[in-house]
Amino acid sequence: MPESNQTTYLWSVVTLLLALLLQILPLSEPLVYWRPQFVLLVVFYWLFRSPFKHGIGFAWLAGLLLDIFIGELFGRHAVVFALSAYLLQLLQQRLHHFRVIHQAVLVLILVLMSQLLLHSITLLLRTNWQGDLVVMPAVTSAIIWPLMVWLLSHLIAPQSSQNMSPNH
Amino acid sequence: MLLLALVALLLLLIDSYTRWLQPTRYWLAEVTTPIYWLTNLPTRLGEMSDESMVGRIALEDENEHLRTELLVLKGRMQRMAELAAENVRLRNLLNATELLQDSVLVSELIGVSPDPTRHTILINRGEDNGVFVGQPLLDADGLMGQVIEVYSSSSKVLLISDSSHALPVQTLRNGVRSIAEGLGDFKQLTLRHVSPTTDIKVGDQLVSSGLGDRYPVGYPVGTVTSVNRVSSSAYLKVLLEPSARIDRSRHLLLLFSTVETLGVSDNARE
Repeated sequence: MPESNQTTYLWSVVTLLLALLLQILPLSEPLVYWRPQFVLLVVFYWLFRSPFKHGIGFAWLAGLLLDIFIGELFGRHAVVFALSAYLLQLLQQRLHHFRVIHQAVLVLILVLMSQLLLHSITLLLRTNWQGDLVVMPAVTSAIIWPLMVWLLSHLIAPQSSQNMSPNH
Repeated sequence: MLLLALVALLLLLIDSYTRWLQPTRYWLAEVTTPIYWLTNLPTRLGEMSDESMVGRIALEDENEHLRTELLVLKGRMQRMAELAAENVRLRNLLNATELLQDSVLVSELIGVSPDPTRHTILINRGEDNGVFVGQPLLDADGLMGQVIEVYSSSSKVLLISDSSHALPVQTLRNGVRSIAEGLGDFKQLTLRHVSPTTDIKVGDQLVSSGLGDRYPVGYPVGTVTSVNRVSSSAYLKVLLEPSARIDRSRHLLLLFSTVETLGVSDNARE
C-alpha cells in the first residue's frame, strides 16, 4: 500500500530518535553489555520495509547521529551502519521470502559483523579488546528483532506492512 | 555507498589524528546534553518519589542520626584544625613552599557513557562555573576521575576506572609509590610495574601521591585486595578496590586547589 512520503519519513525519524534514546539510556553494569543495537535495528527495519525510500544514506545518517550522541569518535557508527545497510541491500531480493525467524538469524549475523567492525575501529582509540561486546549485543538484537517488527508494523499503519509479514 | 563510506572514514581519521573537530564537538555537546539529562530522568524520578514517600518517623530517625554524625564530625574537625595548623608550622620549618588548600564545588551526575568500555560521565557544571580540563572530581569516599572536556554548562569526566586512565599513588602505610591503572571495571584497579620485592600487602590504603601534577596529594584512591605472583611476569599482580563508589555516586565534588605560598622565599629554600 502506498504510504505518503511524508508519513514514512516522519515515522522513520520518530522511531530513530526513540531508538537513540534507548541506546544511550543509562543501564546498570551487567545489563549494559547486553544492550541491543537499537539504532541499527531500526535502520534495518526501515530498509526492510521501504527499500526505495530508505537506503544506505539513511543508515549513514543514523550512524552519524549516534556518533554525535556518544561524542567519541565521529564517523565510527556511520561507516559501520552504511556497510551493514549495503550488505542488507545485497540480500534485499531474497528477504521478502524470509520468515521473521530467518530474518532474526540474518540480523544476528549482520549485527555481529557490525560489532566486529565497530570494535576494530575503536582500537584506533583504545588498546583493549572486549570480545564479549561483539557477541552479546548481537544475540539480544536478534532476540528483540521479531518483537520490534511486530510492534512497529502494528503501530505504524498496519495495512501497509504486508511486505514485513511472513510468507509474502 | 562508496562515497558515504569514504566521507565517514575520512571523518574518522581526522577525528582520531587531529583536533580539528574539537569545536564542532563542543557545539554538538550543547545539543546532546539535554537529551542525556532526559535519559537520566527515570532514575531521578525514582529517587524523588523515594524521597517524598518517606514517612515522618523515618525522617525523624534520619535527622537524629545525621545530628549525631554531625556532632562526631565536628569533634574531629576541631582536632583537624589543630593538626592543620601544626602541619603549617612544620612545613614552615622544613621550608616547604606551598600549602594546598582545596575548595570544592558540588555537582551532579547527568549522564553516563552508553559505551560500557568507555568510563566517562557527564556532570552539570561547566565553563560557567569555572570548571577546567584536568580538574579532579571526588565523591564522598575518594577520587573519581578528571575532567576531559568542558562545555558551557556541563563537562565530561574520565573516570579512574577507564582502561585509558592511570594516576600516581602511594601507600599510606609506608609511602611506596606506584601507578594505579583502570581496567575498564568499576570495581577494580591495578598497580603497574610493582616489583616482587616491594613491601605491599592486602589491605594497604592507597592515596594519590600528587606526582604528575593532575591530582592533589592525599586523596584516597583504593585499598589493595589481592597481591599475586604471576609466573609469566616479572612483576606482581596487584588489584585494588576503588574507594570512590565510581558506578553509583550521583553527587560529586569538583576540586579547586588554590596554592597558597607560605612566606618562604626561594633563597631560603636553597
